[in-house]
This record gives sequence, structure tokens and C-alpha cells, in this order.
Amino acid sequence: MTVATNLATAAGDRDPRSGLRAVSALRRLLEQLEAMQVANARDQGWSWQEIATELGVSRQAVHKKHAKR
Amino acid sequence: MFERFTKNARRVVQDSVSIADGGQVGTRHLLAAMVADRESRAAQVLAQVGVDEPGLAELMTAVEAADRRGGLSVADVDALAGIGIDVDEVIDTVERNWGSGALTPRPPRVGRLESRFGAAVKRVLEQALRAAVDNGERQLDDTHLLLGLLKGDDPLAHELAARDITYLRVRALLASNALS
Repeated sequence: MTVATNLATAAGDRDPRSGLRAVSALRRLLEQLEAMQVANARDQGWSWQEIATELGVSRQAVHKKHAKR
Repeated sequence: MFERFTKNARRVVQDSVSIADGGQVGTRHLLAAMVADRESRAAQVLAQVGVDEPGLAELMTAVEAADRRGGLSVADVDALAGIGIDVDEVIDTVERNWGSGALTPRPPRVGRLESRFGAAVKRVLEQALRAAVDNGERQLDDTHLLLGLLKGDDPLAHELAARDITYLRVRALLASNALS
């Protein structure tokens, strides 16, 4: 375990700082996973509509976010 | 926007373009250019905080590890461990299925002139200009570029902050170097 983990454990799990940091980090990890999965689906010939359905968002939303990549 | 840059600051930017070698110029190329220009005030203060050439190599290894984690810093990894997510396990699993570097952010293709500099570098240039103006200086030099870099919010700035190389500390060091 690193020093920071020890500090977080010592401060207790109720410390908002470590909890919020975890949420923020998870969001960034999620964005990278989404970009990777969408790119892979496009490479395999999936339509924007098919990708949007799996992600549970509108076709426009997924196209606007990922089409330029 | 380069008209207010000193000769040193221009050289750093030009060198960062050659270090990027045709790719998009990132903050790491800018830092490498500062370290390489050993006589500059930026290089001297960087050496004081441990970012000389060997220090730079170690730092770049850490930044590449953060890239592999999709830009997550060591502090992010610790925070996620606190809610039961083992980031290294996630990355290893993803890379086993999708190849190494699967989560590394991909820079946009370079072609148009305006994308020669990455978004993080553009922010550094803005912050550098602000640092110069805030100090009442008419010229933007290499130390302002360094301060701009430290104000950033990208994997390199996070790794520097993790080593206690921060805007406030470097600004204080620059001020005391100027006196001695």
C-alpha cells in the first residue's frame, strides 16, 4: 500500500476528499473505457445507432461525442 | 501571440516542436526543451527541484505509466483503491483483450496548423502570459512558461505535483534565485 492509501485509511472512509477524488477518477477512467469501446465498435462496422442503444443514450449524443476521433 | 516572448522562451517553444518530431507538441515536450536548455533560469530551477536530465527520464516513465492508465495519477489510483477498484487489474485486463496502450488517450491527428500544439500546451501558453502580466513584466520568458506548465491540469502537472514541484514552490525559488 502506498503512503496516500495509508493516509486515506487512517482518515477513515468518511473523508469526503478521498471519496470525491475516487468519483472523479472513476469518471475519467469511464471516459477512456467508453472512447476505447466506441472506437472498437466502429472498427467492427457497428452503426452509431447500435452503439447508442448499447450505451443507453441517443444516437446524436454518441455521434457528437465520438465522431471526430 | 509570440511577439512578447523573449529569445529564450521562443527557443523553448521551437525546441519542443523538434522534440515532438512531427507529432503534436505536448507539455512533456515543452518541459524536455526547458531541461535541455541548461543555461536557462527555468532549467536551473528545475535542477534545484530534481528535474535534471536523469530526473526528467524518471518523470517521463511515471507520466507514461499514467498514460497507460488513461491519464489517472497515482493519487487517483489510491482513491479508487479506497472504493475497492484495483486500477492496475482493470488496465491489465483491458490490455490483455485490446492490446497494450488500449487506454492511452490518443492525440488528435496533426495536420492543421492550429492543432500543432495540444490543448494542454495552449493552456500553458495562456497561463504563462498571465504569470508574466501578474508580475508586471512586459516580456514572457522561459520561467513564465515553466510557471504556466505547473498551473496545468494534465498528467505531467499531476506527476510534478506528486513530487512537490508546484507553482507556489517554484515561484518562491525563482524569487530567491533572483536575489542571490
